[in-house]
Amino acid sequence: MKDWLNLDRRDFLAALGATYGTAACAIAAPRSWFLDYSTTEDSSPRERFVNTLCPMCPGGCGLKIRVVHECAVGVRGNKNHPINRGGLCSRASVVLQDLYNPDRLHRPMRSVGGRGSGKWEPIDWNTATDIIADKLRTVREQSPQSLCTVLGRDRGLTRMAWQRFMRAFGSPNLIDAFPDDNLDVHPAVLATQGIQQRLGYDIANASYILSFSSGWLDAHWSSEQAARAFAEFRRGRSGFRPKWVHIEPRHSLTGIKADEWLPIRPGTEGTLALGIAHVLIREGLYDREFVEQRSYGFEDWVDRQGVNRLGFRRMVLQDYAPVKVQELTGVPEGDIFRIAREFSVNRPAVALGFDGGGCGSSATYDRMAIHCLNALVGSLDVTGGVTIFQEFSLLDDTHELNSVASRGLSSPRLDGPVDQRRLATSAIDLLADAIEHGQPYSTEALFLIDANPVFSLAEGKRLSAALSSVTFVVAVSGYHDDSNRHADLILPLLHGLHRWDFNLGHTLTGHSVVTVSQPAMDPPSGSRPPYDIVRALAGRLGEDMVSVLPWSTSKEVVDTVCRELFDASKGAAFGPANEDSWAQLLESRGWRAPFANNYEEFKRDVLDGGGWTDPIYFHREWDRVFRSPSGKFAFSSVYLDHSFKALPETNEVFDRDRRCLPNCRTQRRERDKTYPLDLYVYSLPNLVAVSSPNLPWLNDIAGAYMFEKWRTWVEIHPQTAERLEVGAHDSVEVCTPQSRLVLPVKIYSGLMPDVIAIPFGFGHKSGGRWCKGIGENPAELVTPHLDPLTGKSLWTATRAAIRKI
Amino acid sequence: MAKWGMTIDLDRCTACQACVTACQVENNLPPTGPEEARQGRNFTWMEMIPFEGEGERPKGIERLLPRPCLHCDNPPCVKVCPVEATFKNEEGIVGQIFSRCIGCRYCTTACPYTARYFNWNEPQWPSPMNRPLNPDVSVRTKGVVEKCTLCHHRLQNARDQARAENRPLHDGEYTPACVESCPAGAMVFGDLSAPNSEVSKLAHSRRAYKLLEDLGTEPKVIYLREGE
Amino acid sequence: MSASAKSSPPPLLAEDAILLEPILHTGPKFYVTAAALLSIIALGVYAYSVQYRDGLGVTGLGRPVYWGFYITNFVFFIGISHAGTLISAILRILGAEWRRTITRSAEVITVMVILFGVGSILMDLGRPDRMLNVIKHGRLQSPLLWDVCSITIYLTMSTTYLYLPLIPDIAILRDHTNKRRWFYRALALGWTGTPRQHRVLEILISVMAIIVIPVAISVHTVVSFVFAMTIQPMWHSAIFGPYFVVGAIFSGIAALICAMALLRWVYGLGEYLKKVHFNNLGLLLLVMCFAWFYFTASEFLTTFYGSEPTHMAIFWMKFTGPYAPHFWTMVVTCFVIPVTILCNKRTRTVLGTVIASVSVNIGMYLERFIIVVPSLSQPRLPHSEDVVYSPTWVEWSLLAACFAAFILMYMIFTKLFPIVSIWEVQEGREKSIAEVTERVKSYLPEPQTPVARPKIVETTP
Repeated sequence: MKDWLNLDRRDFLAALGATYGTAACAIAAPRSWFLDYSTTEDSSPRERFVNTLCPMCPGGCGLKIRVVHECAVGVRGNKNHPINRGGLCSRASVVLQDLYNPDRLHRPMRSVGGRGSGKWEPIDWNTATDIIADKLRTVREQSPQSLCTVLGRDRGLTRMAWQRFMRAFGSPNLIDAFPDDNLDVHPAVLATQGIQQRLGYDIANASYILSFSSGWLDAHWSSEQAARAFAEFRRGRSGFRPKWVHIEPRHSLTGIKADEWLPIRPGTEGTLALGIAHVLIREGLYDREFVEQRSYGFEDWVDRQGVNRLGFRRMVLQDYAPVKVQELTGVPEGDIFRIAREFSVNRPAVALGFDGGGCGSSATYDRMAIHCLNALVGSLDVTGGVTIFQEFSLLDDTHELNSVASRGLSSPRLDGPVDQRRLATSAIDLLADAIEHGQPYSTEALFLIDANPVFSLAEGKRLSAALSSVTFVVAVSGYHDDSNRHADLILPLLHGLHRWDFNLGHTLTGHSVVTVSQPAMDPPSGSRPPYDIVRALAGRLGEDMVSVLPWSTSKEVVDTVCRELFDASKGAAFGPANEDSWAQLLESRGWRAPFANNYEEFKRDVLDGGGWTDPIYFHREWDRVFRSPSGKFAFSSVYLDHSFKALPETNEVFDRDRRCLPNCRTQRRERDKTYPLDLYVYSLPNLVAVSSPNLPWLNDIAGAYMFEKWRTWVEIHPQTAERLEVGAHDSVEVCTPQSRLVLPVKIYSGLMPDVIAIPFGFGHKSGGRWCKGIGENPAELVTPHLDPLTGKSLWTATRAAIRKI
Repeated sequence: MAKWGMTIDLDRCTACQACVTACQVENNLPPTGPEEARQGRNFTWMEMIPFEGEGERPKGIERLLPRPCLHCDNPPCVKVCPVEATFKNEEGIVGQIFSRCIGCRYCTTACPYTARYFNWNEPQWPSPMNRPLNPDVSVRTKGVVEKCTLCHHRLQNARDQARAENRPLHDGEYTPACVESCPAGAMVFGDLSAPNSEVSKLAHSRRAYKLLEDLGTEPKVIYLREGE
Repeated sequence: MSASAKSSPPPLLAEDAILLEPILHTGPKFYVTAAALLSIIALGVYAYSVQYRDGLGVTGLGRPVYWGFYITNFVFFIGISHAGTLISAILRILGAEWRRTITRSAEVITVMVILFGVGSILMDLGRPDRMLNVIKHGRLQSPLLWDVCSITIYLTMSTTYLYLPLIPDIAILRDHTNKRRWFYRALALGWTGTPRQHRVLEILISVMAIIVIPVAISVHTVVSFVFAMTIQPMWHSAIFGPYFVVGAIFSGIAALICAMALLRWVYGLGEYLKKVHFNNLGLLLLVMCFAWFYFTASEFLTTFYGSEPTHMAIFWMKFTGPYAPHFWTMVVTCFVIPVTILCNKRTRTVLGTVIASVSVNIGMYLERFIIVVPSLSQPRLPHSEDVVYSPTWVEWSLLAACFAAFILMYMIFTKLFPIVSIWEVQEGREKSIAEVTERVKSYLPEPQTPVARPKIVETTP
């Protein structure tokens, strides 16, 4: 009876061991369970913090990078930086993952096996520079204007260097790849106020906001400031919660956060603005004092030739009655009346026209109409209204041009004749056409500086074909992308955190901010900052070229920036947040940098603090704000009138009077049987203006608002979907005269019926592992419709059809 | 003893998701791609949740809600853990012991807010992306559950600092990454038990409400409603 | 005695010789089947090794569907395990004489299948290497710990309960065969069949039969508590305990019928597993079918009538949503098919009950799946609708391997021990007929005129 129990402990363990052993053998040895990363290696890690400029978008925020053992391991916002005040946006947080991205380019590369083949061989810097310099020398000898540089989002040192380079080289063709980031002068402001200044909306202090198709929370050029301003607007004033009405074809993130959303037909925002103006004028609700004293062209006027011209009042009363506006825009008449009244009663009220996120701008006439609303309620350059940024410039180029350069600079620009872009200095949308036809001259060499226009333009496909016809293309990029695919050479773009840099920015309240940035860590050996690339090329081209870039390194450039700031004798290095006390302190010290006794001290403060700001802004400096011929706000733009006159009156579509007034759509677009729907393309908030599309965290959250991930979809209104008999899980073919895409359907009631919406942000054809082949690019679908005043492509004019598959 | 908590003011929040990525990089959440997203295997300790509107558009109200772990005072996840790998500490933080978790995923199913995440695979950071990993936060292995810790490592650092300087921990010295990054200042973090702290005042304001309040989980992350 | 056993079964066993046949002779069919099963198991082992190496990412699980096939398997296998012990215990206590040939095959199911229940949980662990943390850091407040405890107890008790009635048969094997004698000698515990030993054994069996019933019920109640203790919609339900127990018995009977049919067919046990057994079990299955339907109906009706949105989201997922095919198949296989077959005496044949049982087992697997997965697919907070759980080859392979391993172990058991209790059959022949006659008589009024009693002859010492 005992023997069955005779299994002793050792046997038992042996049996157990055998069982486990067998199991273990069946299993391949697990890969390392921990990364080779130890936190306890060194009890006192060498840790330091560096204040730098955020390179993720052109917003100009200040970052505080945590560096441990010469490796950046953390990022926080610079608390003293007036633009972000310690905040970070979703893009800034992943700056280190952009820096240490596995798909980042680190070596110059030459295309092998034909351009566009996607095959590259690494070459060294000297070879690369030799190749480029040889080509540029030939170009400069023959026709310097045939060099074209497409400049990306950089607003600091790199842009400055290329501007100087191109000017000295003798080419007028410095073209902005992202004209829609609202960072530049808006043409509508140029038309109405005659100034070449940027403007901001003092959202935080407004009592009423009317925003027109401007996803300013989705895609603001300074998303941190927008968020902070929004928060202040909402809850900054105790006991008072102001109202915000958002007008957009789609219930965007911005629309969701607004108090009221009014759906509107795409491309009719200006018409609605004028409808509201109609009510304001007819009911006498506008700011008479401002209009009478500070504006021009409100009433009918007489031009220099003595001809009677139509005034704003008469045009609006004639053409934009709310009943008619309702028919054109789809916004009910009652709402137009109500909003006009609310807008006039709750002052300061501000009407936001904002173009963001690379999805095409709104028509300049529409923007003028919206801007006129601000003038009608006297919200120009007041607290809680529109602020006009202070003029401020650094490192102005005052070098004399030599004969080669001045000859080259006098030739017409590549991006279209002036009558196609009256109010814009550069129009990249016209570039493809010029290259394609070799008009006004052929393009011999082209630089793409951190720009990917093939992806971001409506006519990207055409531009991509055009690029392949340019003799010589060089790209300076961080990653492979759709544009540099067509390059002969790619030079790696050194990451912003490895560079000396500066950025000239503004707060929404109008203060100038200069962020200076030092490398968070030493750049990897063998890398070359963008400035050094330009300077090396200039060096190979001759003395006259180098003389415009007198600094041997970008560090010296930043030194000069600091010197200019010190010499400006105003403002100070970043300090604590309370701007009022700051301003008082400054005032008491005679507006001088109060804490620095000498330049060295000042420079140290600026570098350690992350930058410099001038916290002084005076409202109602009318001669600064209005530089139109009349010195007033121009409801009827004399500036525009002159620009039309300067040119022969060919192919003009507007009558003489209306072309200098906000001239918005007064006819309903004809029904199109083949393409019955309106296409509305909007930017995915977390992918707006981001310098790298290869960040998995951003791509992962970009569609979260719609419960979507990692793909491009098409949003269809339930009514439209029902009529077209498409369901939530279908895929459809979206057809436009331009192209067609197959996209999954998302039924979304936050749309104007008969409008379909597609997000922009995915759809890169080449690039890193987290963006190549993800989703589709709706820019392909857009029918380019050029704004007559700027030559920019308007994306809202696209008609589309949906086919079930 | 402090009782850490947070308020999220939906009237200030712009749903920009800055908190989402700030959390991801602070806490070494691994990058994931489209395949993981399709299978629900991406990591968002802080997640932006859109709520369908109440009522018909265009007048309907829609909510966009940043959702961290709510650090319930009565946490359903802690109750069910068979090995005490998840716990509520004396300061109210619901923590997770990665090295003890057996990966049964009972807590993940018990959490009514789906705020817990499981490492389905070994987390991967393609080199050199592993270089900027936060040295203060341990990297998880496959097979364990992870979740928002209210950036507990920051509390430890702040407390060590205070102890080294022989002083008590001051208000505002300890802030989680999401709160710190929020550009709109929509999140306020602090001691809910201190009657005069900003967070506790906000948590008792008229607009305060708790997510799925009827479940009785008593979250310590409190939302402030939009509106007056 | 052993000398005679070598040539032919002893006269004592002549009648039941067929029961020893599988133990004495193993044909090629066995090896072919075993090889087939082993290859499925090998696939399962490979699948698990992949899972162990790469993590649970190789499954179709994700957030929010954190649980899938493995937990379904767990609940299903634990359910099946109720076949044996519980049914056999109830039949024993009730003194149902027809039980004698079926109890053993039922009890074996319990012991074998419960191992796979436990195994499924282990397969589900993200860190199986840390499973001993359950003991080291165990928290009794967790329903999973309740499971651990009650399943351990249940496994121990049902093993004992299987073993006790096996002792006299092992002694027979020890005495009458010359195979594996050391093995049988050890297991027979020196059984000689004395009246004292019989008495002790019978007492032990009846005690165990009584104790094992609450344990069995507790096991499945506790399994249901894993779900019911959470506050997830359509899990947090007070009837889950009895509902799961009923479901368990239901699927258990079905599994038993299937096993019996196989035994009858493979080993030619038509004389032992008769039509009447299938008929009786079929009737029992029918009763449980109605009980199950009653619970299912009340569960869904309560949810529907209360119509709380979070609950209704899951309700509609089951009724019309992505899990509707599973749900309606379950209704058909768990209710419509078995009721149709079993209500009719003409279709309640061996084949009929087997069809009904197979159908019930499929249905009950779906039922477990439908309980586990949909509640997780619709969390309270809005979630992307795109995450739909579909098991991968790893999960399918492991499921198949569990079944294969179960069948293989069952087969091996029949090769080691008689699957029909020999001594109980003999006891039935020798004692119970008389006892039952006596018992039935005791229910009836005494006849007025004295009648000569039949003479009962003692045959065994």
